[in-house]
Amino acid sequence: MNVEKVRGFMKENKIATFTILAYLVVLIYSPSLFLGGLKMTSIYFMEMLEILPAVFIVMGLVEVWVSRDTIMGIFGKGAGLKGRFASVLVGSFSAGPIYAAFPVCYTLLKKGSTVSNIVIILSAWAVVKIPMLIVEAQFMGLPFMFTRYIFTVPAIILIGMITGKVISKEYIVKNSSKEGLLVEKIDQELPGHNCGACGYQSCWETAKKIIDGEEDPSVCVPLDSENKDKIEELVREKHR
Amino acid sequence: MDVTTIGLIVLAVALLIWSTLKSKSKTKKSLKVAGNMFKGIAVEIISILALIGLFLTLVPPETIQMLLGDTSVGVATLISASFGTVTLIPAFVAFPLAASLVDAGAHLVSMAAFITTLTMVGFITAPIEIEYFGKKFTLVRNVLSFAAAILISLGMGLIL
Repeated sequence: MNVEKVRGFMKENKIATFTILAYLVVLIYSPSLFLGGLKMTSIYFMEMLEILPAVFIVMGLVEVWVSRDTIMGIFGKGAGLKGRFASVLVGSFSAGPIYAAFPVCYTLLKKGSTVSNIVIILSAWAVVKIPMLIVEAQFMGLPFMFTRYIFTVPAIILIGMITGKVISKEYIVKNSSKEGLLVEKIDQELPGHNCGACGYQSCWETAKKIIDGEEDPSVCVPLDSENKDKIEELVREKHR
Repeated sequence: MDVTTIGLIVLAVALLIWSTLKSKSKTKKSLKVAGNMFKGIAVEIISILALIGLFLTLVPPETIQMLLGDTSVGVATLISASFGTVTLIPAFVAFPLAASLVDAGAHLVSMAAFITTLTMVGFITAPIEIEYFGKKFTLVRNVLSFAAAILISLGMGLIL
């Protein structure tokens, strides 16, 4: 194997590298623990396979079909108290662990939701979703479940409001490695004539479409092959 | 599979059919977006799931049970909250575990903290959260959620 390649992989996939190393250490220390870990992981993996494809398909459809105005009306600045309840509701009817909520909330944020409503959805998704409440009532009893619910809903609305005060939407756009900076980088590689041959009004807009995976860099007519390679490299960077 | 998971899959399929009937090209676009989103975090999610699996094998629930054995409610609450912070366990595992801990003598207050931090605060999922929303957001949200978990459990302690 090529050393450079391995080093590149380690740099791009820090968590994966860490996980592999951890497993290797455990394998040397105790093969039975190693197998136990793998077995446990496979249970989680199956859970992920059940939920994530459906979540992503729904989000892909939302991204393409639902307009910014609609999302803004429900979860945006003007939605007020109604927006907070809508957020609790969306989180309550979700499925899957919190990591499935991150991409969903990110899409909603891009489409005009406020930061505080995103946090409310994330939290409700995590702690008061309906399947969870049902299991909870079964094992811990109805009074436990009910009291926890009564305390938790106001708490998550408060957490949302505070986070919304402390963190601006601009901060997230700037610091998310999912987009933001990448759009700027791609925009720099595009010719910058805003010629419109691709069907979009500006190169910036095209850059956003390319990052979203809705368009291929080849949509840009005057793009030379050197810049095209660079853009493709940036798109790959996004998927890391 | 629980009811909402099935509901979600049915919803996804129904929307997909509706979308295809309305516009094939838009449907293709949304599937492309979905695929890209998935590719974007697949490696990370799998790595993190593997880490959780390893952690729970190294520190099995029995160990936690032992740790919570004969400490005071306050200490037990902090231990449970911290354990919940580090790991991420699906509800169908977490609640039976919490119930067995209660049977073994754990206080309800500490179990409330355990369940809330378990699902809402995520040390181990923080890298994914940072990637989407940045470091400051992740820090603020997790710290607030941890504090809320403690407050919720204290409040429940007053009532239950």
